[in-house]
Amino acid sequence: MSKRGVLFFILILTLLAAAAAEAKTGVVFIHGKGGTDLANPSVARAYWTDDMIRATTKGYAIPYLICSYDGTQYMWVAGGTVAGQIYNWMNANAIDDIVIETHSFGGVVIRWILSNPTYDYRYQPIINRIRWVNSIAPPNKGSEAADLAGTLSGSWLTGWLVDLVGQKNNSTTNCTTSSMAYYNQYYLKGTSGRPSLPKTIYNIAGYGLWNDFAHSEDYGLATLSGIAGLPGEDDGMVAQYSAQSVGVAWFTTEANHHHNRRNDYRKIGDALATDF
Amino acid sequence: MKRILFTLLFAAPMLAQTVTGKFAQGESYVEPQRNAPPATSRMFIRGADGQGVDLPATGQGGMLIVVGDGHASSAKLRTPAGDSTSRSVQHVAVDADGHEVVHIDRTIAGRYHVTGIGSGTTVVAAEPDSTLTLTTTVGPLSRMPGDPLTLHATLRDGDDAIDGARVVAHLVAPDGKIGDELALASKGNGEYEATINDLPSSTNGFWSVRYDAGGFNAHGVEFARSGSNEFMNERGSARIGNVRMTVDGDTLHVTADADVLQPGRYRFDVIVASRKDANGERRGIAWGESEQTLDHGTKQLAIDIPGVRASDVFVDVRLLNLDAMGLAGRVTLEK
Repeated sequence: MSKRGVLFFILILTLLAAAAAEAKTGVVFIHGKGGTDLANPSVARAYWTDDMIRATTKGYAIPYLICSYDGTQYMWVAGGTVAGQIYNWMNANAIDDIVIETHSFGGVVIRWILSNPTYDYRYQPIINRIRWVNSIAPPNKGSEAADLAGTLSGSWLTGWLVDLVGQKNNSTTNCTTSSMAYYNQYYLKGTSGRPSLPKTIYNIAGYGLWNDFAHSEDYGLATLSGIAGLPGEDDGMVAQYSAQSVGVAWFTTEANHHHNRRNDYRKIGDALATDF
Repeated sequence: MKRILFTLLFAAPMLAQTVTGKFAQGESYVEPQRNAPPATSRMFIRGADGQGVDLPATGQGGMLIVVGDGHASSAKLRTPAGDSTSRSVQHVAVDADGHEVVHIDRTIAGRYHVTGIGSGTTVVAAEPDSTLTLTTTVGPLSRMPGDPLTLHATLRDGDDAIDGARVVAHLVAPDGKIGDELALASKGNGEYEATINDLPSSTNGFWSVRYDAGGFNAHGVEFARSGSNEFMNERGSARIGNVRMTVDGDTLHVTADADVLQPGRYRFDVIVASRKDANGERRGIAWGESEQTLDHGTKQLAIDIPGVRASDVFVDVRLLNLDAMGLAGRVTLEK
């Protein structure tokens, strides 16, 4: 190699090193399904709770984004909203190393993005910057609790059970075991027998129901588990087999579906913060 | 200048609509499931009339009872023995708003009667510990226009099959419209089935099938169970056929003809797998996806998948709709 070639090579290495030195890490939170009001940033923040965000970001030291989308929509609609928010945030803040934290249906939304890079021009640049995904209680093979909405279709039912299961809207339909079987074999990657995802998903499955007797929500989830007939271990909303059907099992938690997006009954936010 | 750079950076991914990849070493290829995954139920649904509602219990453990609007506090329960003050019956709050469910620690086999609730109120009852189950499925999970639909239910009490029960189903369209009652015929050994050729409407999307079963087990104990599955009623927006493949060096070239009835965004997906081994399994080799907008009429689709040297492979070729999610067509080919 000529002197000029060596100098050019060193220059390229220096530029690459400088770029690497400026690598900036950020964390993105993607919530689960729920009401239309989850499109409101303050509602999405309340979904996670301040203590979960504080713990995960090491006292807000890590730049973070809390995605907010209409929680009644299909994964591709939610994916479009989420991708727009991540894309703008990562570019505006020069974030090029992203750890994604998801809860429940949020894990399906990020799988949609990872599985369909050509569907939206923003998907591939986002995928390129994702380090990995930590997915808490994702219904990767659907949820028998969502199936219950189909069983109840045509019945007049309101109140807490419907609040927990969700109305028979698009996101609930997306989460039934039948729908997820369909999407897993045609649109989503990562389940057994399908192409693998471009980035690793670390799943966290819940197995506890009775976390905190002071919160009647725990009774609600335990009752739902009994009515919906969730098989094996579950967190009151998502069975362990479903959560663990994609990616690598990071750990399981006694925290139920109410508590495993919070940093209270079990310190899941503290565990997520070990990534940084 | 910034605008030009931006266009160069981001227009490229917009135009590059083909992605390919390899399966992980040793990863198997799995055929799509033909039917919806089986769903097992130990719960049932009843509607109250002016006199309340009867809830048959198997006596196999506890029972959870949810009343219509969640306000179970006014509900009064009478056991099959006629006792209205049983200590085994508890009202439990399930949320911060004070909504309640009724929990029976251990039921007596027979009819419980609920009063104090309005006419038309829906009551959901579950026996989570019971061995008496209704398992249902529906197929095909991906129903093309004209495909017959098979509804299937299995009733078991532990290892015992339950025959002679009444099993019915209702189809619920994606828009929520409920179809007429369909009776499933007993096929023996606790199996019940109905096949229908036409849906009440051609509405595309996920339809629900709601099943309701009732009868008596081998010990003469009355039971009720409800369950559900879903299936995708496909649009039939395009057809795919005439799949061909050739190997050039280490690249597999796959082509197919698409007959597009509804123009729009589609994705041509190809999964390459090995021939079946001695265990009947196929090993995943590679995959490719090519997204494009297709006009009405016949169009040839093509994709090159690198890293495939062998010509004796199996390909699973799909055409997916991306405007309204659904499978337009699927063909497999083995060389």
